[in-house]
Amino acid sequence: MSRAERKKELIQAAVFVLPTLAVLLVFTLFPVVYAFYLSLNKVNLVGNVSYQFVGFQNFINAFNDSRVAEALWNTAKYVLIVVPIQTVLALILATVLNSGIKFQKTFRSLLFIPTLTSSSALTLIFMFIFSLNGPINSLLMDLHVYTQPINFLNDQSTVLYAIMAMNIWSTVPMFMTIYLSGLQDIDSAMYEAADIDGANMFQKWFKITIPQIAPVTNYVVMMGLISTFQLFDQPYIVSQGSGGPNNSTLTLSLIIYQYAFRQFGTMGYASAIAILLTIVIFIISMVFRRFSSEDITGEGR
Amino acid sequence: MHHLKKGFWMVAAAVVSMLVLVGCGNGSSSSSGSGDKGSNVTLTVGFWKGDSATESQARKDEFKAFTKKTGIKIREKVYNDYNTQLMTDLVGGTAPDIFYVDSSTFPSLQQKGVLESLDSYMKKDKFTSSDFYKPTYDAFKGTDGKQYGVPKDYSTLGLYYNEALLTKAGYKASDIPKTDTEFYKFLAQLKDKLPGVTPFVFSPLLARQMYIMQSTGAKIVDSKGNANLDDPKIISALEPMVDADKKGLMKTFKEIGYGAPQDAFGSGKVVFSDEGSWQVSGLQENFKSLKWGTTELPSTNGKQANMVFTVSWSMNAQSKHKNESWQLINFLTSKSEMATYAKKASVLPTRKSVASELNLNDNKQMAPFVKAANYATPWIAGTNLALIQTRYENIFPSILQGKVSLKTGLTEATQSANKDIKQQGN
Amino acid sequence: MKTRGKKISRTVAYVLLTIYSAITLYPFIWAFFASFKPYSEIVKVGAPLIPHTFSMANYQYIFTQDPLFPKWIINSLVISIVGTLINIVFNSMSGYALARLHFPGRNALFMIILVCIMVPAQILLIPNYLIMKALGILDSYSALILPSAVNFAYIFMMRQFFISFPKELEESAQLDGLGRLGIFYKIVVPMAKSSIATQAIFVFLAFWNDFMRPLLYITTESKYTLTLGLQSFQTQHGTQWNYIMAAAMITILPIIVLYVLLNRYFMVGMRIGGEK
Repeated sequence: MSRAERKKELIQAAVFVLPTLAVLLVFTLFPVVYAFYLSLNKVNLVGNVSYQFVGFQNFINAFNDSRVAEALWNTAKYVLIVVPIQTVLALILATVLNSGIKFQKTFRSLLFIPTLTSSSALTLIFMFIFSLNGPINSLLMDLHVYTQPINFLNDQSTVLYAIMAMNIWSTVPMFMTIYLSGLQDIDSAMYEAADIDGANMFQKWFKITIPQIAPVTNYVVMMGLISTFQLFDQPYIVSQGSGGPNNSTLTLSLIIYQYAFRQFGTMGYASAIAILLTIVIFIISMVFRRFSSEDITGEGR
Repeated sequence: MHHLKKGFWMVAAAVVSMLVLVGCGNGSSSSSGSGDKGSNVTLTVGFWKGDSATESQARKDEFKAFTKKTGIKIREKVYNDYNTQLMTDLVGGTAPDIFYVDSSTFPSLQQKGVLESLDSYMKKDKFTSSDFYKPTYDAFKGTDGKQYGVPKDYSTLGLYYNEALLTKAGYKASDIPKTDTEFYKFLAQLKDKLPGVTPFVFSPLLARQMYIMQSTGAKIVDSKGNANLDDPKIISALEPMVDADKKGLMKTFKEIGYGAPQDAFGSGKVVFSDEGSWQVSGLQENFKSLKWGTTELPSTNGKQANMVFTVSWSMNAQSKHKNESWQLINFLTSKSEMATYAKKASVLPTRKSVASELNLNDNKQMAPFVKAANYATPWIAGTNLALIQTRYENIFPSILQGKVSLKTGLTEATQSANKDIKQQGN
Repeated sequence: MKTRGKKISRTVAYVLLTIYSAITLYPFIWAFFASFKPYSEIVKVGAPLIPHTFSMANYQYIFTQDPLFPKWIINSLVISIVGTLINIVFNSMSGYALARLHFPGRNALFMIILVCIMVPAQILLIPNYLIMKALGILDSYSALILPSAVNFAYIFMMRQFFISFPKELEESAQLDGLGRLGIFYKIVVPMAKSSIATQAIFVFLAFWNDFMRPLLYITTESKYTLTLGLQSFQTQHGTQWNYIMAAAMITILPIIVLYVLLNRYFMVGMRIGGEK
């Protein structure tokens, strides 16, 4: 590329990303820097405002906090179960929908409906469905899976799994829709060529669909990781903010909320946990990206 | 070329609309600014909606009456999520001139210097406190002995009973025992006589169990504000309750599959429920066919005990219109206005004279709640209550299920809370 | 042999989709029927799915008891539509730049955007509130639209879509003398219709369902959004399920309409190069 061309491209790029840069600086980067500053202080932002520099003490405290460890373990369990299931399920459903079946439009619209409601409203509906005498218990008892109803949301050994089911149920349609628009962008000539070679359905899926859809998978997994790591709404509603019973629904976002909004003078500690959470998500995403098929520059391999 | 133009047009439209948005914002904010003189004053008043549509209407009517009387205008700020919104408002310096303060959050707000002492205003206007129920009024006295709010209304807990189920078991309301030991025996009899019925439904909340926990002489929070939930006296006070739960004499609403105590009691499959007076309007509106009554809670360990939940009107220390704010507090908590409000909103007035004016002591449904106001424990315990409450409510359901013993559970909760309190140095 | 295999896989596909649709729809059917029930019937344990009698009382109540309810619908619509339009333009442009244009700091910018998606929202609430206050846009529509004028997650999504697009078309257009904006709007956007429609739906939903921002930034009742309005059926000691369910049904309706309208874009099935 010549210098003039490079300069031209630079100006073009500036025009394209300027609005994003403005919002990024004002509404995200500045607050993040501020949060980082808070995390190094013991702060009181209410009434008699005071900042007391404590260095990394908040971070050290977080490392020694058994609740933070427990929340991290809950969150990790949650991520490891939810992300693979929702990604695979979304891709399978999208593939089936895209396979040229009849009523494709109808099915797609039906499956999309959960995405339309806010997660808090959905959680409330789900609390009825999972309740002691709710439909899930009657169904499983009719199927003779067990005889005594399970109080899913009040039992420390089941409540997190009930929340996982809620989450998978409500996010699969969204990721399915993203996959579907990705699938429709795949050149059909590739499938035709494979047909001529006599490839069967599964071969085509593994050899063409999955590699071709990799950037979308990348997106779906990354967003899945980020949203599950930040899980807040469902545990907050189910446990009324306590993270109980017995810390079984305690997530990192919930701890952050407790320190930031339920107590005065712990904003610095809340910020420190938030920054640690960000770092954890970032590291895991980067590890994932290393192992995924697409490199960071987006040039492909 | 057509597409090209369309593209530019879209970008231009987006940019213009962003600019317009910034413009709009500036316009609207400037109008909400100052306006200092006399009747031009606008007070911002912060509150949460409460329990019924009639309560909201009654509040609105009060504000209108105040504006009519003084010319001071009122801007309402409804708190849909009190914790989050008030915190943001206080940090941002946008908190209302006067706002609701719940007794449990009062100590931390007062010690942070957020609230204005009302003493000088009270002195000037010869405001007297003797008419108020003492526990409700003293709930808003600061550690410095000054008054930081006037209680607007309150609720205590009452024992709701299902008439039909009592009759079916062969009892009358007057057969309900007055002491806790007798009451547990009564629950056992009910359980035998009424299969499939839960004798008693309750909420696993610190705010509901605090008076029981303190009935043996210990306090849930020590003088330094640390959690004291694992005090042997507290553990022994809670034991009968945990046993009763395990025997099925009493169950939390969650344990029997309901989303709220009202729903469990309203189902007609529960004999008793210990709830606040707010449940009266809920039952009347949502479970019209249910026949029920209320009576005082049985005594706990030989003494009358109960909880009192109260909310004050308090003034923001940063308010620019302190005299007008006091005028409004004084107006809203005056005898005549409190009577009007309590009647319309069907809430309990904090002034004894208003209670007798409204004949609440003879009101069959309300009398048990009013009687308890004289001896009830206020829902207030130092600056770390929110933290201690969270830890208690986190562990208590697992204790009831027998996954953790009462002693271990409360010890862990206490240690975890105190470690946090020490670290954060509140 | 081949047709039989196809037939079986078709059947499997239909069965799978039907079962999954049933699971997906059940809560909605439940909520739909609940919206016609009185409170006591909704919370009653073991009550049948179908209401005892269909009553419009809940719908009547929310429109009469809260005279502002229609206004909240309009507020939500205005904010969501304006916000979505702005987002589509800016997110697509940025996503394209990150995928296609070469400029110094591109990877750094991309990494920063990724990190910003990862920051937990709870911690940004208060700093953002202070910024809103400084800008003087609290309690206005702008407070809800401006900070969300771009959405990093969808910039990321658009970038992922654009990366897999063939470059050849753009290169030939460049030879024809089209400028970058020209290429973007004449070549890239028409090819990405389905991705943009997808983005539009999700951005719209994010605005429509947003709860925290309106909660903190909007204080005047007449400026409430629907999600905030729904909260008013939640009293201090309980939730009026019957009204919430009716209101939720009304909240979902406009989105279903939007979805049906945009549905045909998903179906365009834009085959690359346009020759198919």
